[in-house]
This record gives sequence, structure tokens and C-alpha cells, in this order.
Amino acid sequence: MIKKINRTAEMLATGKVTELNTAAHVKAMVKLNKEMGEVRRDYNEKNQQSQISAGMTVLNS
Amino acid sequence: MSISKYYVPISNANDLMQQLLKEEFAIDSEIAKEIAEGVQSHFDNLIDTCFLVVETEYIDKVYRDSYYEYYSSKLVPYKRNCVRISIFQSEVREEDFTNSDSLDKIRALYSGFIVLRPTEPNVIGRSLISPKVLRDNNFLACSTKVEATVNAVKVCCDGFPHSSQDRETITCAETTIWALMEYFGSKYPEYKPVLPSVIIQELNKISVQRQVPSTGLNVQQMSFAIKKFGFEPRIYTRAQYSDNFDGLLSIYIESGIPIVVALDGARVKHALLCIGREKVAAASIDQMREVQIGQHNIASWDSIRSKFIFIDDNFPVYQKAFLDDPVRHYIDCEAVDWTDCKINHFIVPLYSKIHLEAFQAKKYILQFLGSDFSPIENNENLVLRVYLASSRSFKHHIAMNAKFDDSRVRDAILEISMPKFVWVAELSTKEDIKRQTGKGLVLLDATEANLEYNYPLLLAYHGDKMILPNLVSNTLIKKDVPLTSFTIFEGNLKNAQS
Repeated sequence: MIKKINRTAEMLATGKVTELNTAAHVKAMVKLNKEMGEVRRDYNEKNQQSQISAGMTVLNS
Repeated sequence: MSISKYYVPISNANDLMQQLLKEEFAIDSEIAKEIAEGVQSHFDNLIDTCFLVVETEYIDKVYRDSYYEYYSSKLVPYKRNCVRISIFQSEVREEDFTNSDSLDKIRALYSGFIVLRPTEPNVIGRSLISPKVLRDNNFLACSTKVEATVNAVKVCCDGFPHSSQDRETITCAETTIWALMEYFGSKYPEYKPVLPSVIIQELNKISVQRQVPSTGLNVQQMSFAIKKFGFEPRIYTRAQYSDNFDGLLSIYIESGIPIVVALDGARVKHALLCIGREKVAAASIDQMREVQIGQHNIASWDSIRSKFIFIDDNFPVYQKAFLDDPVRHYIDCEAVDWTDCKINHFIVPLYSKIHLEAFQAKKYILQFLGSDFSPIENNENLVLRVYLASSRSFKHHIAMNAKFDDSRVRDAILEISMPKFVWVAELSTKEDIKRQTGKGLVLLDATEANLEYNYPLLLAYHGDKMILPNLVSNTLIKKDVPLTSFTIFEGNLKNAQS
């Protein structure tokens, strides 16, 4: 049989691997999601206002 | 009509220009003298050893396009042909161009061209000059290879396209779009160079009045045109992004993406391209300010105040200026109307599959590094360098050049399935980054605009900790790895000195 090479799988098969799914991690995930939701809303607002402003600046020099 | 040639050292550029304007374009001698003085700066920027080879009756595709679309309809007759000035690093002779033994010499010395078009006083047409013949070329910038001929000999050169506006068919806005597409069209198969008439044709679809003679374009119109030519652009405005504005521009420049920049003043509004930056000095790295992210102090590479490289159609190519002082070269020429000009908008021509833009990408990286998922374990003073990279170029660097101390981290990176573009955040210390060395990485999927549940994360590692997504359970896993450092990636911008 021809050998299949996957160095990542070999690395993960040896030594300590910790699943980040404890209660503390879930809480951290919820917090991060909330922060990213605010970032997304902030970006959307900035993007809309940028487009409006862009329509008013005529470049011709 | 036959082609005439001139062979002239650059020290005679002024006399050459006057003679060309008088004899080839039939311009009055006093006006020719004034025009020659006005364009002398294009030659003053070049090293003293440069040599010029001139060919008359040159058919320039960009001018010909404007000629047939506009100039030929005017009562006053315009000439159809241009003059091309080819630049060599040192002297070449007429006999070199018919001697196959001299071919390597010609190709090694060839450093670009400037087209003179008969649209006085704005005679500088399409040009491409290699930064290696500049007096000051201590910078990194976007660059493309362009093929040309000189005296029938095929040559090529690296540089960035440039042209001055003719102020009738094209103003700064259209010239900027042309230069952007000339760069991308000559470098990547997804894009094509566009002629001025094509730009005007696209904009006619959304215009309520004539586009020619041009009165300029607003930033939205420029973005529209860029979108029609194959990009998915984003517009950023200083009033909205305030403290983040310069940093975002810097991130995109670090990603090797030429940026359309809008200068805004009370009387003057101007478009130009930003294509690179000066090499960063060690003192600038020492002066970077850290901000607290979680328990760590992180300084952003994009906060360094350095000069950026601009393609400005009112000046010779490769102008240097700070982002907070972008019109210094105008003020030095006593152009008083420009003193209050600031960069208030920029447009990023993103590849269509880059869904995650810089503002959100950097916010996510910083929040992630300050969270419980961060691979950074000790309170550290770090430098964060964020940029977009093609996964092909980045993986090649990791495989061939990155000099990882340990192969396991390298192999894990190489085996990640990546989209065409990834966001890369390199983590270093101030001393490490002076040695072009990093000790941590965060890789994000640039096709993933959903920032929740760590969806964009491909890999994060720092010190002896690696964080990877577990694709089965949709969580993250942490793996102990050997401490390792690597050589940072600098493949997005080309060193002007090499």
C-alpha cells in the first residue's frame, strides 16, 4: 500500500492536545461573538457613510 | 515618413526636449523652452549616468486612443504620433542595436521609457521607469514587468506605469484608473489594461452629462469604474475611520495592493495612487507605541510613521510623502492652493473573492489575541504586522524561505487548506522584527466575512502553543509545539534597489 503523508495528523497524534470547549471557553466564545457583532455593525455604518461622502468629492486637479 | 533617432546623455535632457518639441511637434521655441523647463524634473530624479535613446514617429496606443476619440475632431490639427524616450543606466551606441553580442548589455541597461505626446503643455504621456535608476530608491513598492522595444530590439523592464493628465480627455481621476489597470492588467491574467476611451465609455453609462472634455470624477464614480474592470472595491473615508484610517491604508500597502487616494482641500481635489513605502528604519520601530490588548501590549506595524510612495500625474513617478503631509512636494513648489490638502478617502481594489476587509480582519485578530483562545500566554510586548497575502506566495515563502527552527509548525501551515488570499498577522518583538524574524502567526480565511465562532481562523501560534480549528466539532484545539521562529514574509512589495 502506498504511504499517505499528513504531518499535521502525525503531530496531533503525539503529545498533548486540548479541546477548547470548557464552560469558560464557551463563555469566551459568546463574548467574542458579541464583540464581533459590534464590529460588523460599526463597519457597516462606516461603509455606508463612506460611500455617501465619496459621492460628494470630485477629483480633477 | 521614417523614424529618426537621438542618442543623448541625460545631462543634455533639457536641450533634447527643446529640440524635440520644436522639430517633432512644431512648437514655438519660447513655448518649447518653457515646457522643457517644466518637465526637467522627470530627468533630474534619475542618476547622472543615464543615457537617453529617442525614437520619433512612435505610435503610442494610449495617445492614439485619445487622438481618435477626441483630438481628431478638433479644428486645430494634432499630430497622430508621439516620441518615445528610452532610458538606459549608462551609455549605449547605435551599433549596439544591430549587434547580437550587445543584446545582453542592452537588456541589462534598459530602464524604461517616457512617451512624449503632442498635447502641449502636458506632453508627458505613458511611461514606465525602473526605480533602479532613481537617485533615491530606498523603498519597497508594487512593480510589474512591461515589455517594449528600442530600435527594434525587444527589451523589458520592471516598474510602475505613470502618465501625466492631458486635462482634456483625462484628468487625474481617469489617469489614476488607467495606471491602476495598466499595472494589474500587465501583471495578472484576471485583469486587462484599459484605454481612456473605455474608461469614459463605462462612466457614460452612469453620467447625466458628457464625459469629454473631462471635468473629473467623484470618488464613487472612480470606484464604479474600478468595479466594472473586475475588482470588488471598498471605499474608506477619514471622517468615518478617524484613528484607524492611516493604519488601514498602511495595511493594504503592506499587502502589495495599489490604493487610489483622494486628496481633498478647499480649492483642490486630486486623485493619485499609493503603491509602496520607504524601508522602515530601526529608530521608527523603537518609537512604536503599544496598546493594551487583554493582558498584552501590542504595537501595530501599521502605526509607524514612514513615507509612502505615490504615483502622482502632476509630478515625476515615485513621489515620497508622509500620509499626514501628502502634498509636501506641491508646497515645496509654492503651489499655495494645495497647502490644506489631506487624504480624506481611499479606494482599495480588492480581488473579488476577498470578502473580509482590513478593518474587520484587524479587529478580529486583536480581539482574538486578547481572548481566552489566544496562544500568547505571558504578558508580552509584541509587534503585530497585518497584511493580505496570496496563499500561493505565502506557502512558497513558508516552504522555501521561512527558516523555521522546527518543521512541525511549518508542516502544519503548509497542510492547511487555504483560499486564494489569506490575512496574515505576524507576531514579533521590536528586536525580532528588526532582524526580519517572527515568533507567532495568525492566519485568517479572507473569503470568510462571518467573524463569529472563530470561523475565519485557520491557525494561530505563538511561543509553544498552536491553536487550530477542529473541523469535526467546530471548536478550537490547542497543541503544544516546540518554540520556533521564522523569517517574516516580504513578498508583497518589491525592493526598488534590486
